[in-house]
Amino acid sequence: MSGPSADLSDAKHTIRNRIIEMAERRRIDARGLKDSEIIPDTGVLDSAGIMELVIWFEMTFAITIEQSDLTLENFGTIDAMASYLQRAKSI
Amino acid sequence: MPIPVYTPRVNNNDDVVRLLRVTVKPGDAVTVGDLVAEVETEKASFTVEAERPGFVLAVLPEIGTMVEVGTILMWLGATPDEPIPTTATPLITNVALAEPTVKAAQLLAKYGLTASDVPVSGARLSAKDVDDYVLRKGAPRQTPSNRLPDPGEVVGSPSEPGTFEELSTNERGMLRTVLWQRQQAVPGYVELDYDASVWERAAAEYQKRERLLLNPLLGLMAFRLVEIVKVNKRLNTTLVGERRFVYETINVGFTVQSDTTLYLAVVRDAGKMTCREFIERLAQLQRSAMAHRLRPEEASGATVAFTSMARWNVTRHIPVLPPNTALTVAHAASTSGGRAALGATYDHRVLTGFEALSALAEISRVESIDERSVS
Repeated sequence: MSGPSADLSDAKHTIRNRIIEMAERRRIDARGLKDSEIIPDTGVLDSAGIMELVIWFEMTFAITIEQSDLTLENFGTIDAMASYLQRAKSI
Repeated sequence: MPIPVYTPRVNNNDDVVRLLRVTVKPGDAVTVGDLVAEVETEKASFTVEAERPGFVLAVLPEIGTMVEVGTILMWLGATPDEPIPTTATPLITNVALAEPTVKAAQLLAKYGLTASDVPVSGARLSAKDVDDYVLRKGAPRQTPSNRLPDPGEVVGSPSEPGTFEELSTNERGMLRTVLWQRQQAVPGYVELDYDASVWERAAAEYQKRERLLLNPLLGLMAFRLVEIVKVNKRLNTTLVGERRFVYETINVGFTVQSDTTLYLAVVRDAGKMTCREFIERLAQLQRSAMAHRLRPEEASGATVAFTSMARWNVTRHIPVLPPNTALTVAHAASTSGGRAALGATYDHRVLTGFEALSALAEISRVESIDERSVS
């Protein structure tokens, strides 16, 4: 399968893996994290971890995020991050 | 009368030295200051100079042999054919045993030396011995207890062997964050136990209300520090010479760790910000620091500081003070009971432990964050 939906799915998969990997460093199992769950509410990443995730997101997907875009609506969930990426890259 | 040249002490720990070379031979004329021999230990070498004019009569030890400190290295005479004493001239077998004269003792204190540092020319350590030693060697780097080190002066160089390695750019940045402390502050540390769960709930409510991506707990607590500093300006000071220097602005240093590098991101002029502005600016700086993109002005000029190791579940830590600050507040992880230690390192030259503790007590009280701050 290819096309926008496949790319979106790949992006979510990549983001999820990164979150799981980062959470593991804090000895937290994030494998059960749902795409729609609000990441700050779950506690799998702390604030510094979320910031680290944002920086990784910029580098991995080669986009620049305005500070004003760092909102719960844009980066609060895996779904939101993938949607932001879709808009940024017009996937 | 022949004059002995004694084997000098190179350092306090070595009672024997190796005779490395002899630069004169019997019959040679020497004057004061002429190099006559060189001795060494595993750590250092030391030149031996003639302290009297005369002629070399004899060199006693073989080159390359180990020689006991204080024994006679060579004899000098007024004439080249003067006989060497065969009876025992009192030998100083241990320089440290040679009692200094009163004046010599004063000079030793002045230069930060001990009697065992200085080779003795006679039965007692004389002022001339000390003066000659300092003239030959220069004033030692060792800092006398009654003198403050100059800014930038190296204090306490390693005494053990090793090699130098260049620091990376990031490591140099971290070094600048902590390097100054050995030169200036007199750090003390206080801490208090408080109910961290109240703060955590307040931060969660604030995050929800403001729809923030990042938990604002540390930002809110750091901003509380700003409010306290605005009232108590003594917390926003340092010492210059013997005068307190009170900063005009409140620049809050906030530690950010990225990979293995520690940064001090600085929110400048925080006293003029609203709570929301402060939190947003702090988030910007945290992001820049974590991406190793802090500009120099964003990583310098802190006048007070805040740090946390809660993300690693550290329940107590004693932070260093950033350059020229008097107070760093240390936030730590709470325990299962919801309580935590709130600590502060302070510069005891300008603050008392009570003042630091009072600031902590005010920060710990979440109800003291008023509507103006939170909304």
